[in-house]
Amino acid sequence: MFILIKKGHVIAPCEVYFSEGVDPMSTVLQDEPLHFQLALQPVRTNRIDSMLNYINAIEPGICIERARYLTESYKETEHLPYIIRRARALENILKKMSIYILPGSLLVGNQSSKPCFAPLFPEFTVDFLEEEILQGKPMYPYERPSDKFNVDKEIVPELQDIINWWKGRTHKERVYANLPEEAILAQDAVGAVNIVNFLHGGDGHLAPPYKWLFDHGVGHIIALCRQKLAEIDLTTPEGLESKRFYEAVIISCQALIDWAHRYAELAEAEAARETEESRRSELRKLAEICRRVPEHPARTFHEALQFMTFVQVAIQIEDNAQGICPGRFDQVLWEHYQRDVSRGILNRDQALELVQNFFVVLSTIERIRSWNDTDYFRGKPIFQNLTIGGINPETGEDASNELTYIVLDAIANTRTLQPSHYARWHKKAPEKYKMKVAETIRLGTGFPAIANDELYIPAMMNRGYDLKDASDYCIVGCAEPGVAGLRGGRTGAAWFCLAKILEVTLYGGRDPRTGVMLHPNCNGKDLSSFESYDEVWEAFVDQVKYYIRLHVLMDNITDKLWEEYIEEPLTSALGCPTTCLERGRSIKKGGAKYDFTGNETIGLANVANSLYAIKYVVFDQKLITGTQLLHALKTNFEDMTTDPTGPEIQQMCLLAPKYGNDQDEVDFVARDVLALVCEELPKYKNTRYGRGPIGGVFQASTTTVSSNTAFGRMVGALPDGRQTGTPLSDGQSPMRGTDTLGPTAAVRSVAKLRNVLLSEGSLYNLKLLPQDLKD
Amino acid sequence: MAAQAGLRRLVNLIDYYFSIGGMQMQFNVVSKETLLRAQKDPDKYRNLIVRVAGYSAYFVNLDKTVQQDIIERTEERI
Amino acid sequence: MINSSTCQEIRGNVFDIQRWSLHDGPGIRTVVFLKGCPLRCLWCCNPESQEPYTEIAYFKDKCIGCGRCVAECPYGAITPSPEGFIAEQGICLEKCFGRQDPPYPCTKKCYSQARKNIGRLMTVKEVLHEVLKDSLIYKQSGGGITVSGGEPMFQARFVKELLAESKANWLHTAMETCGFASWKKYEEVMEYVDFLFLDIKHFDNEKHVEFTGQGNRLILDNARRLAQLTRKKGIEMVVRIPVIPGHTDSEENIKSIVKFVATELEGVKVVELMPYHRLGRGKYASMGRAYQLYDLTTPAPGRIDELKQIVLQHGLATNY
Repeated sequence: MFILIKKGHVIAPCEVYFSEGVDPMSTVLQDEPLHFQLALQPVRTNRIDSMLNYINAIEPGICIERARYLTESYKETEHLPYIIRRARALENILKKMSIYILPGSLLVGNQSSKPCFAPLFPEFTVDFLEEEILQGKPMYPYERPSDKFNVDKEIVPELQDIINWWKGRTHKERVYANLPEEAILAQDAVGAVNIVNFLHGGDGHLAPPYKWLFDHGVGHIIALCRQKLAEIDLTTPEGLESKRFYEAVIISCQALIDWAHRYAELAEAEAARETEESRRSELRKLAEICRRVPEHPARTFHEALQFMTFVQVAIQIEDNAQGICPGRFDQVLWEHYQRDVSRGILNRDQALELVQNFFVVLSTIERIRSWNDTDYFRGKPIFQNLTIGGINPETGEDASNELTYIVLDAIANTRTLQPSHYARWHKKAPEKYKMKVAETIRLGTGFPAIANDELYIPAMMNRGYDLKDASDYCIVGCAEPGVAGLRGGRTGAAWFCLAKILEVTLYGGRDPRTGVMLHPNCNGKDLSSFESYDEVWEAFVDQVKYYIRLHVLMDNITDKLWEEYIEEPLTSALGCPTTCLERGRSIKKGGAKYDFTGNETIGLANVANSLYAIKYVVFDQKLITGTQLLHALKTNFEDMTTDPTGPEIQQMCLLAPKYGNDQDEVDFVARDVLALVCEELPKYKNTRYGRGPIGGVFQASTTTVSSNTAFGRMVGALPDGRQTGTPLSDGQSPMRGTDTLGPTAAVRSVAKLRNVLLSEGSLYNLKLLPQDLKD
Repeated sequence: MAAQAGLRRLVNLIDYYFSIGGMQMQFNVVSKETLLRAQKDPDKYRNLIVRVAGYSAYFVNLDKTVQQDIIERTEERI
Repeated sequence: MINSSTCQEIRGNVFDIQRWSLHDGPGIRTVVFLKGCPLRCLWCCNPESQEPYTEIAYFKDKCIGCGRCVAECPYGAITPSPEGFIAEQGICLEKCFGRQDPPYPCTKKCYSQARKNIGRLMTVKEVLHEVLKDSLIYKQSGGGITVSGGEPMFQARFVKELLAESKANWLHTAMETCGFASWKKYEEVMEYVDFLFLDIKHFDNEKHVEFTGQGNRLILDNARRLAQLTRKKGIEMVVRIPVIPGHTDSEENIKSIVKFVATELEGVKVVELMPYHRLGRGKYASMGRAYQLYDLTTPAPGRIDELKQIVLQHGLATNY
């Protein structure tokens, strides 16, 4: 609240001048401003504390072991079907990779030779490994300004050999060989659609059905496969195909069991050396557990958690995927918790410590992306999402339990980046739950994010999910819904930069940064010749449809090549066992019950604000012509020789109402733009359509990760007043700094979007001030 | 002032957004001032976790542009 | 929803409508700030609220230097200077302020909003349209509308209509007043108020004149009657004391006010101490003007706690 001119008792030689933007308090504040995370110290046991200190002291690095054993195996299996080669490679890795037990840990499972060391996945791509790790172009991973990795010089010669062998055999090269020229230009020149993330690894984005796994054990999967193999008709092509699948599953699952046994041996060896009695018995118990799970069903809470840890880590060794999720943690582990507590072999504190221990182990997982792709994923997210709360799919009643609160306590006190967390929210959620979730959010770690059952469930049903399955959803990535064991496919998919598409529309279809023209505007006009707002809208809609077609084609090509060369037997067997094993095919070939390909729409607020600004400034208020506005955009609002000047035109643009202030006229533009994407995408089929799964189409989300800054670099000045190269808006949030009426107005704007169409997930970032949440 | 007024406010805001058709939300609860301090003195704020989009990260480990993006996000308040 | 045909006619001068207001009554509220105040408190941190008519603010930092305001002002009041585009106050007062309907000409082409009207004439319907947007969260949080200022009684007729319409729309209503207005106005408006904040700044009449420009007799008198009225209506009334170091923060003053509340304002159970903050300082400083209390610092740590004891000793509750 502000200022004004006063004439009054004080001497006023001149009038007022001061900026609304600057909080005068900030210049006088001496003390640390309130921040709950800093003010409230976490409470942890010594075990958890020392494990965290141990991990945090390690600088992230690169581990060559996976690449070594993978390549070793691939060299020997050139005569075998691809899915068998993949299983054999995993077997070799799990057999030979270094394993360790974190000091004091009650759980085991490691992805690479050291905590926070990233394994390499040369089967996907080697070009960035060569350029960055070997040649330092544009810089070595340890020279990065952020998201750094150390490189041990000793691995360089071996890595060179590995890279040399893989050249010409990688996923990325195959994708590029299959993409039409216009798709490559759309990605690498224009920057409107981007699938780079899926050139580096698999998709992931699923939650294994842990309840089913705990009840059956991986040994049961092997038995099922053997039984199926005995029944298959080998005279049919389908039979031959599924024979390969079952064999690959048996190899991978046996490798997983053997890997667990290696930990049992290691724990026994360490126990033998251990001098402290209590630790010695812990290690012996750990050895017993690793002999038991994952082969057999889990009998205790501890066994179940160890089972989960093995599966989480093993899937992430098989495939460089993100979003491998524990799912509805408080639901899948509730039975074991309850039983152990009633038998007197577990108390709440012990369970809490185990859960924290689990978080610590998941935090050791690391992933290296190319420097280019890192731009889209700043801060090294892995997206192992854990979901709590929500309704019981059988009864529709609230399903929260004591374990729900244990997770919230663990979040507040462990403060690790992995796993990430979602709390489901619904009308029947108890007050106690809501307050505890709010208290955890108030710490400011961003955990948990909240998902509304009353929107997610109908959104999923709108695409074909059963009520019961949809009611059991968990988040499997940023904000994408999945159902443990039932959803596979392609949750994550291309980045879709709406802001770039609008920019191209304003220039008649030509990208002003590169001069590339892929698709001329349908009405042959540009911003200087549009005669009405309707003509702008018409051209934009047509461009969006054109780029969605490219988006679909790029994702389907990726999927086709994954299916042909990089199937994931372990991920399929553990991720969607019931349907994959029944159908005898992997997720990539249509093994899941539900299968959708996703989307990540970027820059919604910029597009809505820009479209509305054109309407307001050019057509309604007639402050300037389209030609003047286009010139101002071309010159980044900097041309001082025009009348009005560039900066004045920018101010006119900024003055137009903005999405996020509860103003219908512009909020409805945002709604229509998003609905356009949401309704166009499901018209397209993915590569699993008609092969078994329900769905088999594309669907929209507004998850951006950090790509809004990366795409922002490629998008020029826009009519919303945003200058060239600056970050775009994130998710479906209002553009930063433009929502000025407080959170109630902002959430009303965001709620005007037809969120229920976002069946692949909605993402809204809200920043609140700690003092506003002070009691 | 009612007990736990701050938390209630947050619960009210979430209930409000969800009752009018909101689907998902995630929060940063931090002042610009704290983030600016963390930029100036990263060692002291090594453990400061913030929400980026769909995930959280250590603020001081983030690229400068992303840090700036988070700093400039509107602080929703009077 | 809004059925009174008369409410179309009355217009109030509103200088801000703030949603997500957290400290102006129970729950989450929307506060309507009205222009005009009979007092001139030295520590006032909202100087833009004092005059009853629309004024103009000039934010130099926002100014892009286009100079359109110079040409747009028909009275030649604005000249460029190193300090920005400065208007001759006398001309604004004579030609525009309170005489013309805003927006004033010099602001019309100021797209950067460096020059901005403070205060907008709005009908009850227009104000309610904004306020009702958040009605659901009022229900969920126990909030509602709060009328503040300035001094709402400066526009008593408008406030009465606004609150009556608010009640007709089932809103919880609160009002913040400095107590300096004729009793007749309070009588009319209070019919529609569910929660009242009353400021008592100084118990000593001379000091009150020195610090605010007016004496406190009318205020104390109104306090007694408002306490009686609110008790009769069964609604809550809270007394607020601004704790301004060196001005109102003596134990003697706080004690006198608290004692007055405890003995003469039956039914008032809460006295809130409002510690001086320096937002006003930043504002005045940024305005490039001398602020009489520029060097004043916030109350020493622990000071509020000490004063709080006085409130508690008198059997009253307090904030913080």
